[in-house]
Amino acid sequence: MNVRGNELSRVPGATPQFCGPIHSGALPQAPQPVALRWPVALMVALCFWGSAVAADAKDSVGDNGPHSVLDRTQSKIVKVFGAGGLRGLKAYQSGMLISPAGHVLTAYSYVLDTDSVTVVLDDGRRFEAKLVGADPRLEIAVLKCEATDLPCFDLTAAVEGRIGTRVLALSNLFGVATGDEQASVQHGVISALSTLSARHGVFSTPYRGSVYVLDAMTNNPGAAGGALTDSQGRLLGILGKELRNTSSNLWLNYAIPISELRPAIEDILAGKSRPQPSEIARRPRQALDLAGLGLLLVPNVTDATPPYVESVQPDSPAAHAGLAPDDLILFINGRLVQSLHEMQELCRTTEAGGRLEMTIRRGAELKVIAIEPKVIEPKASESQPAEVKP
Amino acid sequence: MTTLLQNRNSTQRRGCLGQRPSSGALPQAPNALASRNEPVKNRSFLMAVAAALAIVVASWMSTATALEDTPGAREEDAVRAAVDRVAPSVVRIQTVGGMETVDGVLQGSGPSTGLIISADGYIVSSAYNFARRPTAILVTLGKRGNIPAKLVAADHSRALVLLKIDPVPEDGELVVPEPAPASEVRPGAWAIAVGRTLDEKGPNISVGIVSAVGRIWGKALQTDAKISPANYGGPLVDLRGRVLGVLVPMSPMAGGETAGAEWYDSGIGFAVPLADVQRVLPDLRKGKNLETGLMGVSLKGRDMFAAEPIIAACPPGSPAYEAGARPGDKIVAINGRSVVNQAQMRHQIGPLYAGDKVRLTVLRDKREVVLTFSLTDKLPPFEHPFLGILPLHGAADEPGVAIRYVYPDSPAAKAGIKAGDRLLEIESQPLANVAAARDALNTLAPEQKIALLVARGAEKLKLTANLGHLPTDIPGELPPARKAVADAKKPGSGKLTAGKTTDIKLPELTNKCFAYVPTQSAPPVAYGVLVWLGPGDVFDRERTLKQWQAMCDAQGLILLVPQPREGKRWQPDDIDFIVRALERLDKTYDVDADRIVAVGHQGGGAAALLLALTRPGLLSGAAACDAALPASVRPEPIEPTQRLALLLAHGPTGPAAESLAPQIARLRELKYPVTEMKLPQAGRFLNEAEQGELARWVDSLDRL
Repeated sequence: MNVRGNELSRVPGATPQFCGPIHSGALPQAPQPVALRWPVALMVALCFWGSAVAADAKDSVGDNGPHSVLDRTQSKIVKVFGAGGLRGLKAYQSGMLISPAGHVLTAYSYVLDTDSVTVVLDDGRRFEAKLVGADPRLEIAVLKCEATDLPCFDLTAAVEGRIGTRVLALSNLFGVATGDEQASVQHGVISALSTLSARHGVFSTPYRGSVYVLDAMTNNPGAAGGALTDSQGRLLGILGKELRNTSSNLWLNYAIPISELRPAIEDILAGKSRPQPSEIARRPRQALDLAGLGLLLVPNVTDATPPYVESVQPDSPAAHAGLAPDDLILFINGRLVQSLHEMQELCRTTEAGGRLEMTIRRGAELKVIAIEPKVIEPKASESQPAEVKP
Repeated sequence: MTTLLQNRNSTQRRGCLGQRPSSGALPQAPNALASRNEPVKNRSFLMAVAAALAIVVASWMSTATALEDTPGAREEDAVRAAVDRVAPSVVRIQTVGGMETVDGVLQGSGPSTGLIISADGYIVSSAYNFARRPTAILVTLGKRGNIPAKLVAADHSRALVLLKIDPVPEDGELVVPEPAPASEVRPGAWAIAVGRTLDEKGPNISVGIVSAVGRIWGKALQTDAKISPANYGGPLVDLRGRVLGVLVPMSPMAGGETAGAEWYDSGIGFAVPLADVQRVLPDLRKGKNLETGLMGVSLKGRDMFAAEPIIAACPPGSPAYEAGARPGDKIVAINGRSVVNQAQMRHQIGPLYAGDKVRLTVLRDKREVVLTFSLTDKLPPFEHPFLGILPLHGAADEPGVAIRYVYPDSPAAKAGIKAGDRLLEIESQPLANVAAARDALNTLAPEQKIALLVARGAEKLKLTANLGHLPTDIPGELPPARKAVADAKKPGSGKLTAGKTTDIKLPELTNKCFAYVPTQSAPPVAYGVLVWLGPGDVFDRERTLKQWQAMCDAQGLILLVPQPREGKRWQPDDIDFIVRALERLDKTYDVDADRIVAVGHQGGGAAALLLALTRPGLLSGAAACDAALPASVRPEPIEPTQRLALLLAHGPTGPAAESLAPQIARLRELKYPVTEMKLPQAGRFLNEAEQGELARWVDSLDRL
């Protein structure tokens, strides 16, 4: 399915909420400018140094040196210009060439939400690009420029990184590069391999797979769609959109491994449709109700009230499992529950009727308790339609 | 930028030729660059850090060839090996419950990191992670899963906590990391920050170098690795996986659990050396909380790098006073190490805890006196004494203090002092000027009986006064503050042409700001400053001038009107701007440091109080209308050398009035002179009559 640019606004993932203005965070106001301003200084510094290094290396090492590594990689990075410019949203992002025929892998975002997306190569050539397709779940899109014989990344030759791997991030963050200027290069190491889905509700992104967390200030406005390579220019991943960890209030610098994306990219290139994200599918048919299990928790006073057991109904599944007043519930089915608020959230998204394994603290001890729910027979009045009176 | 460009040629050569990092240490260049600029919030320092990083890239890029066995690849392997080595000692900590906000800031609740410090179950972490006072703490140990832990003790000086897990796993399961020998901790060496928050299975790392040692007054080492809640509490290790220190947020300017967190991921991070943690471990294990050690002396002079450590005040009850220290003593050595300025003295005292013994060598009457005493964690609140006079402004042509006004029923009035007199001596000390009189009074206390020498015409009178307490009532009509009253402008007669307004722009700061400088009649006297911080809504220069011009003309005050940087709301960042704008004024005009006052309404009022209480010594008064102290401000006891009066105007209801009552009680406990002005309704600013009272309060702040 070819999704045309002007249809993007109807796609749920295209709403700009994930790319919202970075200063609007109601949480710590002070940190953000620091975290942003400094990377700019560093990045600008690296731009200067990049050229100095390259020039120096050319003299001493020749075409096999880092000069050619960077130059080869830079020629595969493009600047993408599209919609935006309002409410602090930037009208640009980054992308990378993935076929000699002009296919560009980039981030799926509001920037593409226009009929005229412009792709600018590192030599200054400009192309009006068409949207070939997108996968909102992975937040990626493929564009096509009318061109031939372009330098490009070979996705099948992409490599895997691990913790400590030295990496280069190439992107047009903050839109510093224009025209025939090359993208900004940043360096760092892979800080961790992490799974966004392992942290329920912590990241507001549809992507649920694994990411390279980067030890560099890479994910700033305009960087999404840029390339992450190892120190020899071999492709590792694509830089994601700005993302804040809602449990620690930290901005995450990350890239999605190419191996997570390759099937989707192949589908898009082959013209196959990609599924849309569906929130409804994740909602349970019947949400978990603790009171129904005979478990009553303390009243919710603040958003951080710990989930203590207030009382246990006699002869209920909770009583049979051995729960007692003043137990503190720590984990449900392996998931940490830090407050009553989180407990309610968890219940809302958990299917009722299954076995519940709880880790509780009683005194100074941790206990694992399993609750086997009773099969509740639906009452006759509910299961049968009411008689229709004439 | 210029710093970078100027250094470009020389550093580039260093980075690319020969001096590649080989044995775990970088070339000296980064250190030389970083340490040249001392103040941390310095632009050129930033650029130096950037340049230092650029060198790392340069040296690395030039080694990145197709071969796997390159210095770059070997470094990568070394980093991994170091992380692998320390990883078993780095644990994940999760908490349940606790407060939502700390210091008014919503706290994150994500997992945090701890470092195993003994095989019998003790774990050290950053206090930041426990600022929420969680109900339950869980430590995740690789094979064992979650184990409950208790908070055993806290080190408030170094922002650390000690946890104990129970049950303790069997022998050998808890791996205690190897510390890096202190002699090998050098700026320029690789430093890897290790946390265990991002991935449930493995650690997360950030690679940098040791930027400096002995930071935060000798308490921490500094690194350019990215330090944040992702690794607070985890170790900073060298290239061999030996622990350099425990990562904590810290700030040279402020204390507390969350101070310094605003520098997260900035390239400025801190770690408490592991050796220092181990030294206090026995105390912490016993459950003893450790506090910063205090001597209880105030020093003369504000420039800590220029001023000698001469004791300006040393109130009775402080450890130094009880050991025999007295105002006028010059501190020449601490624990046998000589000190020549106040900064060096802070470096010696900074690392010490309450209860630590200190040996102070002071110079008194050209003789060295050695005083030995223990530091304390809490000083009795200091209260300035009150004589009951207002000095005339600009009457420094002869020695002594020309008296403008004597407070009725004050100690001065009871002693028989009259307006027009000249105060020559306090306790037989001749007074050169008003500042000398203030210094003399700062060493005394209320209820003390003192001898005065006063000149009345040709007559000299010896008087005695019983010092009292600073008044919180606003005085009635005051006589003019200067002699040449006939030339001065009458209040209210000033038009825009009376003085001049100038815009104030500061490099790198985007706040808008203007100042109004009243015209002075001859002979000129030093200006006071009135900082007006509006509620932040509509900014109307004409209206603001109309509101304050008469008062500024009458009292010789420069009006400084800054605007919040981000639209309408005042933010803590804006305080920096105001401080720097005041510094700018001080450089351009003759400013009387004893007459700088901030007045604010609503958000601006909170900003005025924030400015006054977080920058002690800057203001002599702060007035806030319809505003309370921001929750993040914990007022510190008054220093004898600093005076700060507060005026809080509020309506009978409203959120400001509610939070003010306990705040006022606390401020009074700390002996701040707090004047409460009760308004009939909340929400509005002062009317004309009330503003007249405010003006008289401002006019009386240089009282003695």
